[in-house]
Amino acid sequence: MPMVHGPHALPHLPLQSPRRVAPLRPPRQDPAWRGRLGMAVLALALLWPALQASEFRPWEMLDAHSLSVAGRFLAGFVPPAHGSDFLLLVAQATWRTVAMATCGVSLALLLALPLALLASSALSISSLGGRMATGPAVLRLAVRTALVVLRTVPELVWALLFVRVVGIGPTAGVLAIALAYAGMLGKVFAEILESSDTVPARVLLGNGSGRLQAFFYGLLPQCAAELTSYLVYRWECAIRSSVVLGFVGAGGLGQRMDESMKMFAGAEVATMLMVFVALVALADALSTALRRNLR
Amino acid sequence: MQLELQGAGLRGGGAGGSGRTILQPLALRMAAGEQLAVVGPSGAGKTSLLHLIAGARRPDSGHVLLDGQDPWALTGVQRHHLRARVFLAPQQPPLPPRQRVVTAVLAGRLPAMGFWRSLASLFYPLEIPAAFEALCAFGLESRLFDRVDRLSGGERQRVSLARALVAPAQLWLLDEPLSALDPVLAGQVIGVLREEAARRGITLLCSLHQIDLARQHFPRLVGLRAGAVVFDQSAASLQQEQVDALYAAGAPAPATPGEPGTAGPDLPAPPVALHCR
Repeated sequence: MPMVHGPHALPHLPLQSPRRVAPLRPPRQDPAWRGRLGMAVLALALLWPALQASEFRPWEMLDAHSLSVAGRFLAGFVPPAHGSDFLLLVAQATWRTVAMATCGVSLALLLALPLALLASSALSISSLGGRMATGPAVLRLAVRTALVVLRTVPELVWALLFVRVVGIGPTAGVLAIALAYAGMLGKVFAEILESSDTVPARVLLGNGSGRLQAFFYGLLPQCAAELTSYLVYRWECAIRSSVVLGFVGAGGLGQRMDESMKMFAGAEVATMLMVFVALVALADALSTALRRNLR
Repeated sequence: MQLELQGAGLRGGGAGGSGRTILQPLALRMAAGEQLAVVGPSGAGKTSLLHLIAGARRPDSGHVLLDGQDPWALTGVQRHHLRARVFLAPQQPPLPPRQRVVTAVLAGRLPAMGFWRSLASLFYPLEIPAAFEALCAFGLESRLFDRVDRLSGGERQRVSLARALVAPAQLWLLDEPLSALDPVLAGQVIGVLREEAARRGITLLCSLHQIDLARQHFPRLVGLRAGAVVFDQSAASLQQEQVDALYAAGAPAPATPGEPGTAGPDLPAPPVALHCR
């Protein structure tokens, strides 16, 4: 239907009824209004106990003692620490953080790809003739459950666990990222495989190809860009989270920041915050550029 | 490959065959190397018949026998080996848009390639001559290294058919192989397919909606209407009245559910997706 501009564009259309018998009154209220008000009240009523339970009292930030402590700490931020020894230290820590994130995501990818292939029903041969056979269905469910478990435990908890096992250092961080991210990557990869156009892969399966062949020739070309784009995004997340992992002893920028914070060395914290922001911005820019090139 | 249908029928809608009938139990026999066209109005069950024969659907009654073997009496692994000997080309060319033509054609050869060979072929196509020859047959040799999304609809359809020429199959099931081609091209393509099938002794079963092309090119025609075989005879003996009756309006043809492109226009709004990514 062509665009209509104003009432004059339809001069030839006759009116449905030239004269109304009773004068029409405009509706007094929006019928959806009552429901919306109800939902808003309900949400607030549910939120109140949550605020109580979490002891959320923001005004405590504003009492004299807190203000003076925060003030002294923040005043130390300027000028940021810039001694050459310290900058070298920060550079090493930054490199270690990037390395930890990259190793962790690479390991996670190695774990996640086979799990995603197992969890996805897109490559099921038994479902070609109708319903999926019981054995494969149970296997898929088991793999999905494993992915959920890997994913639900946050990487911070994994890191605390591995610090106990392998001791303080980046190894714990790498393992923590690998496990938690394997769960995330595996689940999302399986979803991407299922939500992309699976017809080419199913036709290949129907003509007698193997599952992995159908994956590489039918499914991967459809979703390679989406998989890579998500992987790069996760790598960016891993850089952020490897900083956090440093706080629990996994090394890198986070650990240095933790030490400086404990010593109230505001200048050092300021430098590291700036480096951190720059690092995340860089990762973000890199992942955006990579994703744009994949189209 | 010999083909025999013994009272094989299909019903729609889920397992157990509770839905309406898509294919009446039907009997059909093809000798090895025979060529046959299935004709009939839209929704007569032509595509379902091809899927039934290809082992993509399990019959709700009767048996499908390929070289005397019932795929559904075999183990899963044996059935999958049998699938490699049958080549089904769907009406919509099943080609990933980002793939190159050479890879898309060689994908037809996958059952005959080992896994590692097929993986290596992704990095450097191992059987470029085979793909080139198959494309030559359809006049597409200049498109060898183009991406599929640069092809026209008719070119995609011919690439999908070029797969048949490299596939290790003895039975070709081609679903409306000419639907995206102009009349001249359609005549050439069906000529190439028939010639190649005859040269290699491949059994050829083709569904066509252009009755004239079917009468012109195929020795034997099977008329399908509302899931039942109306006639099965030589093209020469087919009378115009039979053709008119096949396509006559009247008895509603059952729609085959689950076919691509049949999604109703009044779909409900999709649920809000929860992305925990």
